[in-house]
Amino acid sequence: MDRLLAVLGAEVVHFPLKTKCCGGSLTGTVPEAGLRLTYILLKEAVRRGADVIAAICPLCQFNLDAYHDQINRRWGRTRIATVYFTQLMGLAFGLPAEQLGLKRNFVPMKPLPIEPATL
Amino acid sequence: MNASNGNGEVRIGFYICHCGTNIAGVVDCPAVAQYVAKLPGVVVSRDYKYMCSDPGQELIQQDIRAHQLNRVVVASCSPLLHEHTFRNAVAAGGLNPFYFQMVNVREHDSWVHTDRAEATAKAKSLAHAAIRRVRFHRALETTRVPIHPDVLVVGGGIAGIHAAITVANAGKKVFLVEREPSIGGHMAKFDKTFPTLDCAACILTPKMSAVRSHENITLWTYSEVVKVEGYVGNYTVTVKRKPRYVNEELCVGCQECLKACVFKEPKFPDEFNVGLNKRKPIYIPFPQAVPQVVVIDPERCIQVKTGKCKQTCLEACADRHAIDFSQKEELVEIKVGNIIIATGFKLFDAKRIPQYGYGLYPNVVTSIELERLVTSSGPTAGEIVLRDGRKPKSVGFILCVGSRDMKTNRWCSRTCCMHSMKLAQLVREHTDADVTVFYLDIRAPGKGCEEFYDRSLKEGIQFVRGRVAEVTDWALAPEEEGKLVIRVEDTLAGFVRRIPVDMIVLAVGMEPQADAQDVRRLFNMSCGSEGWFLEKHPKLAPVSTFTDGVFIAGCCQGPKDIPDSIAQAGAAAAEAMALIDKGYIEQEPNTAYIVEEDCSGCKSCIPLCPFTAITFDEAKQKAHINAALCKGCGTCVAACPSGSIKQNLFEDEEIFSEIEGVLTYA
Amino acid sequence: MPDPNWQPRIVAFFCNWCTYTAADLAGVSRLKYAPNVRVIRLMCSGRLDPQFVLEALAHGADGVLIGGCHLGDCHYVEGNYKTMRRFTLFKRLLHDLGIEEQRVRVEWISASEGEQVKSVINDMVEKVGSLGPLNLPKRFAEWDREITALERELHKAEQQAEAKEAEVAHA
Repeated sequence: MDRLLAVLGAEVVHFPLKTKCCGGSLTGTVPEAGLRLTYILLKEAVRRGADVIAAICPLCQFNLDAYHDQINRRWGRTRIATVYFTQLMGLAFGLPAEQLGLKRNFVPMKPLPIEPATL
Repeated sequence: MNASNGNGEVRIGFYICHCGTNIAGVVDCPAVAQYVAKLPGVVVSRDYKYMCSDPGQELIQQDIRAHQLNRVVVASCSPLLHEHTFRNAVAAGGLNPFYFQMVNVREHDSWVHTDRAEATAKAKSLAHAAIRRVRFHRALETTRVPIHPDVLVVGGGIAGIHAAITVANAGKKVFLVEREPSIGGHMAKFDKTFPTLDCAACILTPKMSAVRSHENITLWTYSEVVKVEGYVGNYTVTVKRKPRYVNEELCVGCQECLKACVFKEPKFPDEFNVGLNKRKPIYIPFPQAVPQVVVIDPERCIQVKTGKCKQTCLEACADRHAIDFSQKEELVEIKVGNIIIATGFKLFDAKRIPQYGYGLYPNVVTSIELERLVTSSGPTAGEIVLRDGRKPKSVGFILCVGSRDMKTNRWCSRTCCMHSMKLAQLVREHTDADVTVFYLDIRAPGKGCEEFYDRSLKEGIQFVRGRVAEVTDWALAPEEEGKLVIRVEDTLAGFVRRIPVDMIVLAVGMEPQADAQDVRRLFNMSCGSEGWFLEKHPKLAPVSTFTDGVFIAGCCQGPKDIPDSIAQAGAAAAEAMALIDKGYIEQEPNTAYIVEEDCSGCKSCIPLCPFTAITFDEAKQKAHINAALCKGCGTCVAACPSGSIKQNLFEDEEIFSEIEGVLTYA
Repeated sequence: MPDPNWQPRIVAFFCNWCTYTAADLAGVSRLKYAPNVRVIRLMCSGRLDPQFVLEALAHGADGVLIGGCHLGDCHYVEGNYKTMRRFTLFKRLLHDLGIEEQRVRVEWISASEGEQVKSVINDMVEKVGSLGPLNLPKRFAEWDREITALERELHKAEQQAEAKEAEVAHA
């Protein structure tokens, strides 16, 4: 995924937590544990200077996107959008945000100046 | 000796070996002997505890004389192990050794089956097959193939060097072919060797010098073997000599040309220093290189690539004219009798384990990179430094990187525990840093090695038992900021630990060379399932291969340290010299022959022989087999439509009788 | 009447350098496999005359297993290629003879593949076992008896015909 997005023109930030669990189904069953894991990922991504998180798994994308309120209440302010890597690919190909479903996130993605990739 | 062939009576002696309990534990040996006693032609049928022992062999010899036996069958282990032993015993008893047949009731029966009744029935039918077959055996003589006295050694690492010197000292002519521009192999890159902490260069360079100055050794570096034809005692080998663009006879290694090169600064990764520093397109691999001759990299030199360079190197060598851009690749053919392969190993590519961060975090290095840092003649003059030049205050060694690992390489690379402890001691010596070794098991089997481990502990090196899960730069505490954090389960303490260090050294494992498969096909060898060259027998013949005249030594046969590599090199040299001094090898007489009257001249067999042993006699209009070239595969025998080609020891009648025997159940 | 105690009998021809050595390795490693196979050693799978296979089947084998080196690795360079060619054609002959294809099997097993020897033998015993006995000797004997019986009847009919003729001639 790193290489794919780099080829399309994104600057991929070094993120050693990229394979860490997002909290999975724990956010529903043991929220204290699950949300904590989600918070760790969000916090580190912001600290590393990322504009957006690219995800591949629907559960990851949902966890990272939907629980900002609860997380901010419990552990402190943090905010970053999470989208599917395919949505980023679509942006690179020049497709409009509506078509890519980018308006459907809980945390909207910052409108980035994206040049369609010249492929 | 009364030996008959259908003409006169066949008198067979049958022996089944107990092999202690190896066979007798599963197969009812007395029952088999009793069964065989009743078969036609069997005069003597015995079971005995250890047939291959002296008394066992004497038993055969006595029976041959006392009972006028003219055939002998022994049921015991694999013929690949003891056929030779029993043939000799039969010959010592006065009977032609090829009147002997062996039955495998151990490797193929007692060791692989558990039901006593089934195993015994199988032994009986296999024995029956041999009894029927041996009737058709004839007296045969082994052929002698002369052995050319010259030896080819492929690979100029410590094993190849030692083998070459040993054979050369015995007065034989040796060709040592090495594909790098200098001999020395991996050992030339080491600083000190365990467990004595001898300086590697100090013990290696005298041997390298000896190779250079030995009158019996022809050293061809920057060369590779490209073709091998022939067979034991008579190999014709084609060696490709790559052009250095420098005349070896004229260059004295003064290195003025290096200074004069149009590249003012070195620009290309230096292979000897594993990329830690740079070199120019014209270079000497390392200061003690043998031969002490400069080499020009054809991929990087402007003159070689484009023809448009000022050629300042030529000017610098104006008085000796050693540089010669007109050099071309040369193919040279040599004749040798024996070949010793000592092509060594390559190191595991640590990038294959991304969790350890090699290639990602600059201060994660491999053991060989640290080796170059530690060496006083290395890129940092012996200073162990981080990439930014600072001295590390803490170093972690991760063992078993690419070894003992289900996901990468299953085997243990045997030397890395000792190698890492040696480096750990050197790090303590050079930097006084805190050193921690993360291990699965510490393997220190050689002489002085366990004591070396003790010493490592006394030097204050910490040992943590656990396979490192991850190397990360994600700091969770102030003391972890700016460092690399090793996450590992400390299995002896019983919990997961995070240990921050400045520098991480990965003890990368050994692997077969990248082109091992190509090399082994070139020399008609096999590889084991792990990719190392296959020895003839893991216990009894570790340096021989299944191809007579081709021997292996050193790490190409499997991971090992320097003393073991040298031991194997000496062993391979001895095996080669045994053949040379004897002067001939006895070839098994299983060659094919043509019964001329039956040959119709159809020529079906002519194109089948890979050894071109079959020719067509135009005058007689019949095929002809050269017994000296025939290797005994039997392909032409099976193909001949008129059945006029036959094979000694594997005649059609012999095999048909085996088939019948094997399907006759007790 | 199918014999409940029947076990398949398989004759194997293994090449000395690869498959026979692998079978030895299986023994050294103490791997256990079905005891139904009897190995005949050849120097190379190229020595295998298809007649050996027919002979084995005719003498009562239910299956024949041929073992050689992997293609490209033959100790004698190309012997196994010849084996491969011969058996591609031979399979058609077997088919025409009405013998099931799974009864004759060619396997490439290298000297270090002891495990393969075990798994191939076990697999083949199972497959041939489910095909049932081939038992050609019994069938040959039956056909012999049938033919003999037919011949006798034919002879008897001829004799009767001659006798009748003679009667008519005398009449």
